[in-house]
Amino acid sequence: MKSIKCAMTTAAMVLAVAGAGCRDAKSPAGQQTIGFSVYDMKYEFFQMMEKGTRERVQELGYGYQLHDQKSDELQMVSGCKSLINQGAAGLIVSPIKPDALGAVVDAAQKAGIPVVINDIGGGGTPYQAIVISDNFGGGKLAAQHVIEKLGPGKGRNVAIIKCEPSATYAVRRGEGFKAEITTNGYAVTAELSGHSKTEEGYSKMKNILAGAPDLVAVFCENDPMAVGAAQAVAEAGKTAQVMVIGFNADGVALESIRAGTMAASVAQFPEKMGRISAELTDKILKKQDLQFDDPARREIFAPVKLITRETIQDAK
Amino acid sequence: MSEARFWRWWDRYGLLAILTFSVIALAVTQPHFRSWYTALNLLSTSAPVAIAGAGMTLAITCGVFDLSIGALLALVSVTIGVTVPYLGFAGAMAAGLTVGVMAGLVNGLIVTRLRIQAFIATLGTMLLWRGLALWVGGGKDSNLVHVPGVKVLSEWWWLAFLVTGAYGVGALIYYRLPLGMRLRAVGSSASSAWASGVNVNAAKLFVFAYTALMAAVAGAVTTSQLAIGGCNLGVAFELETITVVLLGGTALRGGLGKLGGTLLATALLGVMRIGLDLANVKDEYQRLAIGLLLLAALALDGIRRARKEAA
Repeated sequence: MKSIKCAMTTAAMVLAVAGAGCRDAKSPAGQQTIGFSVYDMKYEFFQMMEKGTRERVQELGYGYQLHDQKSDELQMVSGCKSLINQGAAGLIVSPIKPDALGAVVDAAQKAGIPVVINDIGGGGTPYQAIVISDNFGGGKLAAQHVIEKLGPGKGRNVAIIKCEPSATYAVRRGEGFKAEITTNGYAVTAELSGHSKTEEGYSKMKNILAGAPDLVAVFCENDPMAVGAAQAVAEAGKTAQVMVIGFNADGVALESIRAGTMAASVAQFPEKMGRISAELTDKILKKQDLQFDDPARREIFAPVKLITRETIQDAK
Repeated sequence: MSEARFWRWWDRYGLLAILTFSVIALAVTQPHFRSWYTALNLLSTSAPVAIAGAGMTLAITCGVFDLSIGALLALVSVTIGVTVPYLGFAGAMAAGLTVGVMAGLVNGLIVTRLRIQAFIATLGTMLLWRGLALWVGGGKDSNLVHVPGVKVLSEWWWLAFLVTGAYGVGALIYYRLPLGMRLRAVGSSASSAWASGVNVNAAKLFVFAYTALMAAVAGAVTTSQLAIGGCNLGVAFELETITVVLLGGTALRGGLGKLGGTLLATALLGVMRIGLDLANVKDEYQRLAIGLLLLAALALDGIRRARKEAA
């Protein structure tokens, strides 16, 4: 008896929470609404993305409805479906699990609703567009910073510490860095995977330094690895010799930049990404043509910026 | 040399022979490998796993597992990161180690009092410690680069001292103290150990606390090396640790532990990684090489047991 009561209470609570999650509609009668299903509002990155999305959606004259996936794949699917069922005109998703988007995009298309993905990935589904940071361009910015500081690279060695090969967008960062730095005469002596982890950024950097004592720079495809690599460089007493550059301008990396152990990081702008996703949805609803940066993958690139000690205030 | 003698030799010196061969092969083929820097790298990159492995060897000897040590490493690191502004680095270390031992006792109590298998219990606490680490750290790493003295445990003499200490204390327990005999007895057969008057629960409680303490020391070392209090540290650390323990010859079924083997296996994996990194070998091939090494080592043991049974 007790367990039945308990189950019923739980069910009631779940329903209440699910209901509350979708009661943010602020649309006056007759106005079209755009729904945004966000990855997790716990993270600052997505809070900024939500702010940009919400503001631009409302500026463009739509109603706005938010759903928080709370890092839960099931919530993503059920939340998106309930946005669709409640008659949203357009759907924006930053998916916790791109591979599970199939059912969502399917349901949206049946209802005639366009789907715009913001960041993370589209899971190979027939979404209308995806907004991602210009990862390749960000890698190039990092390389240009090295070239600007050190001049042309004849005979100079650099290294790249990569994320896991399955992180398709992150891998483009290293590719951008490599393309730009090698065309300027630098040699990439080592290209190892640190599996996105701080510990491995540290241990791989130790081994890279053993093999290339004359290294002048290392580019890490994310900031945790850069923070670890910077400590390995510091232990070797080479902070002044080796520029360590990361990606994403995480708070922890900004502190390393301030302390001088890291040279730079490439910042993404989630608020801007949110605004772009809102504008895309608006264009699709008005049947306007989209200008893709990569038409085959329906990708639109959001701008990135190099953050150094001098420009650290631009990171937020 | 007869077959039986060969295997006896192999049991004792097999790993050492492979390690020596690898070091010589790398020294000949890789000019950068022949330097003191390599030895120091090996010490700093392998120390955390080596120290945690000393604890895990005793746990597996006693017939239990601890899958939660990777998440515990993160919890200890976050604890140090959060308390360091108030307690200073030494005080924060002490706080971290205390949290570690308490977490180990919780593991032990779950296994002995609630009668949940170690594998499942520590799978649960693995999620629990990780959740706590994320909660306490607010989902973010804290940068300790400004904390005075934070890098002290990354110095080679400290690392050498801690690794020596972990294995010295481990050997003392295993070979010299009655406690070691009890751990082996419980690992061989908990019911016979109980029938002959061994306090099985006390032995298990001790071994969980000790394994967690070693993992906490590994956490303190990692925190010092990376100069962060990191809530995402130690992912898959438990697997790496269990790997070196088994590769070192400790029996998965319990009752037989090989501390020296764990240390040699840690060194062997560390040397292979350095060699593969120096040769700039791609990630996928690195995984292949290390996977094959493990399978070869375990297959050798299996073949041998099969032949023994056939004879």
